[in-house]
Amino acid sequence: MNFKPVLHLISFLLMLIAIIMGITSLVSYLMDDPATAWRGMIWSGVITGLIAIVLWASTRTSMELSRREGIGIVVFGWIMAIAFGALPFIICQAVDNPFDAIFESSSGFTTTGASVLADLENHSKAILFWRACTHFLGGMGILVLVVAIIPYLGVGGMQIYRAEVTGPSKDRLTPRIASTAKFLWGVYLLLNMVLIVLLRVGGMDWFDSICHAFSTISTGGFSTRTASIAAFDSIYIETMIIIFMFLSGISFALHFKALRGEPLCYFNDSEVRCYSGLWLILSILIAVDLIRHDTYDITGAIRHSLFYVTSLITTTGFGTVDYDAWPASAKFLIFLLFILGGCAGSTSGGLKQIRISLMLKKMSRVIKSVLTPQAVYTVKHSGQIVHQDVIFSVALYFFVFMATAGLGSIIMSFYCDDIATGISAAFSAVGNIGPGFSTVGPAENYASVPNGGKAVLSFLMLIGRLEFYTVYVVFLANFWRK
Amino acid sequence: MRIVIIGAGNAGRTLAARLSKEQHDIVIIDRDSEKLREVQSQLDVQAVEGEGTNPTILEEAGISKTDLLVAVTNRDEVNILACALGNLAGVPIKVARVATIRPYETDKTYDLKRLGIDLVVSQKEECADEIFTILRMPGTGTVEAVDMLDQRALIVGIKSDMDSPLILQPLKSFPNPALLSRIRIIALMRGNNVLIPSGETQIMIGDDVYLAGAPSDVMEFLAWANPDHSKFNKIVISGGGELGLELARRLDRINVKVVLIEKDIARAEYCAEQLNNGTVLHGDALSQETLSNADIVKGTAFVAATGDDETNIMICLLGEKSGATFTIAQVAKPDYVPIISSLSLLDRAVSSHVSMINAILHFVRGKNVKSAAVLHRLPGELLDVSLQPDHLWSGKAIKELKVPDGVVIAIILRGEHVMAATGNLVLSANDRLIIYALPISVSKVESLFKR
Repeated sequence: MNFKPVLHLISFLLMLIAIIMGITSLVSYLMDDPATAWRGMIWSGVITGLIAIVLWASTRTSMELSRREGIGIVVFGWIMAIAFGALPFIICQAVDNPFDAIFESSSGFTTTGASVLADLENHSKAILFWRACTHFLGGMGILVLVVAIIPYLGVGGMQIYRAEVTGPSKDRLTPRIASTAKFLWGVYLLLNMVLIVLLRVGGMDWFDSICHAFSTISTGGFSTRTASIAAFDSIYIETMIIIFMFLSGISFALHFKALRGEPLCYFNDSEVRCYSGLWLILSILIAVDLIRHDTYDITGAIRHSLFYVTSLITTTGFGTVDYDAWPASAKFLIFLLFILGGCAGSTSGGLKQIRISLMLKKMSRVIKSVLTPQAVYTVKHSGQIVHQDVIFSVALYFFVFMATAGLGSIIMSFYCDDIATGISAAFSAVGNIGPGFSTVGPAENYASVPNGGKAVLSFLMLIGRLEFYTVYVVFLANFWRK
Repeated sequence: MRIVIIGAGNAGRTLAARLSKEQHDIVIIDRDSEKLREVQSQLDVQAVEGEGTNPTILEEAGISKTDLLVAVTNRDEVNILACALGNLAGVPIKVARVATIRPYETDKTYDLKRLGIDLVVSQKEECADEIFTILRMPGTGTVEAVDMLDQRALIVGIKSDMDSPLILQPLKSFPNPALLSRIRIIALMRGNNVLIPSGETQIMIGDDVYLAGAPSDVMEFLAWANPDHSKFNKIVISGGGELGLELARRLDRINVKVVLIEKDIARAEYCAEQLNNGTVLHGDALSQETLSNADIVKGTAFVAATGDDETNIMICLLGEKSGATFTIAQVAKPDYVPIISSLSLLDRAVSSHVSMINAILHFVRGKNVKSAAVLHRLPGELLDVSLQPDHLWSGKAIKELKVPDGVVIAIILRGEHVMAATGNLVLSANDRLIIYALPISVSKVESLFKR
């Protein structure tokens, strides 16, 4: 791998982060934060910016990237973003331990939404806004933004796009990756703006609406309140957030098509059908289970079940009530949601609906062919035949997902007192969800996890966000060869 | 510019690589998903799987928004039909590749322009053109040669070897300044690097020197620079396909001694019918016996054009061994061309795509800057610019101009007169300039002449 172009591109990324830090300090200053907060934010920005400039000046080179450099940029770009994104937490004295800072930053950029901060109301606006900004940058993919801005990156640009945009098949909206990246970010910004206005109308102040919109569209999950969405206690706000979480779990390429004048495209897409089907079925199942156990009355059961199913299937992780107190059957369904995830090409994490849909279809074909071995069955997705290789790679992806989360659970079990905490924390991190069960449940936070566990979880979040292979390839000796 | 390319074979891929580097929006259509996957892993292009003659597929590729449609599958009927469909969909420029142009040219009734096809290219004919130009150059040092400005100018790349009078002295203290002032050295290829020469530049052994000028001046320079500048006394062509036969026909017409080797007896008989003086041998060019029958002697040029890359390379090696002075292999796979030139086992590899790309690039450039030619080994492009009367450069001597990095003014056409661009020459309005630009500098030239 050739380091020069990799570091050069990363310098752009750091500059972008420095600028956002500057904006955050301005917001913090205007919101009458204590001086330590907005000054700390400025310092973080200055440090990041200076390093970006030094890096930029010392590595000026041709920007044409090969596949290897493309992968390198994604992995090291994300690691750098997380590392520098952790600065404000330390400099603004929000946490006193670098592991906490890295965890919070990693959770932000990967849009996981797991937090080590308790009593959010006592934290400075600077920190709260910065957390929302890390979601905002990480949601659509900070490097996709760089691809959109920097005009020509060659094959490496494609590699970056492939690595960062989720799912097995990456729809291209336009022949060139740079313009596709621009369109995707355009849709992303539009959704954010619409939600900001809608939340403001619902009674949130501007600060809360911006932070919550950033968290919702990126399917992150950081809130500005300790009680998360429950703090607002408003059916309107819950409904809006449910709707926009749901939308953010759908491929942004589809949104783009719909905005361009094909609103029916949602109905013709098998993945959206699978996504809405599972969403509906699980919502009903959980609601029925909650009513059966008299946990809530009918309206309460529907409201909370809908909210959590949307929040978890889209891997957002916003909370209202404490699902840890729900009956075991409902809790198991909740755990199932940790794995599913939204649609490919959305901002959500998890396995992704297209993979689930393809595996279900393939399974039914295999069962049928046991009866009539000579029959030729094909798997179709949105009317198009899916190649055997794709099915195989989807099945393998499922294995890699489970193996990674499983290994993570084993490691986490050394750091946690009970099984539920360890397993749920690992799955929640790999799927970029946020809350888990027991001591890391929706009413708790991750502060109680030991430092080693935080480091492991931070890494799992990154692996999950980049869909495994991109990160694993870095461990191959071959990757480092020039 | 949005460009749809039909066919992801060697030609389509080379073209897509070239055009995507220049930031055009490219969609490539092919029915082979494996080929598409390969293209997509190498280039920033959109791939659509399917038949290029299927309107649904064309729609999926966004045909109605397309500015240029290029059909380069290896089936004429597909290419022609796809372009005709493109015409119906309102694509402004359509380019189709066919095996041979002649059948469509002989009778105006079948002129493909009537189907709305703006340009018909035949790789084989363009390739024959190119080999023919190289064979006409004296001596063995020619790396490549391209005609420009309707044969009023010539660009030639020559290899400088040990005996060359060019080497190891700065260009400014050149032994024959009068001759040097009539041509322009535009670039040197040293290994894989391009050097833009200045007065201080020394030419080293093994450099490829690219020079431009009026054909008579260039020929004179070559005769002087090449110690061995006799013309080839005989040309042996192996492979009597469209390319081989076309080349033999042309050489036959200018009374060069031609021997054509063809494996297939029926085809060999057909070739014999087509040639007046040339000899046709029936046999395998890979066999020692056939080669000895071809009677290769000193001064023989050897061309391998069987249509199969590996066979061509092998045949050339055998030809060289049998005593040919100069060998040329036709090579289709774009990946092979740089390897072959670095192997120096063959004198010349001719890729059949470059000349086709030349023809297509012509349509891609803007109004004021046209593409004049692309060379095989030398990266970058020769651009053809007309100097407007009110342009900054008009009325100035060339040495006073601020020419961007990586850009060389090569030749100037004033009226019918071709001149090499020397420092003291004063440019005047309506001069046509041929400018050489490195790949990254092409856009600089375009913006310099943008209007």
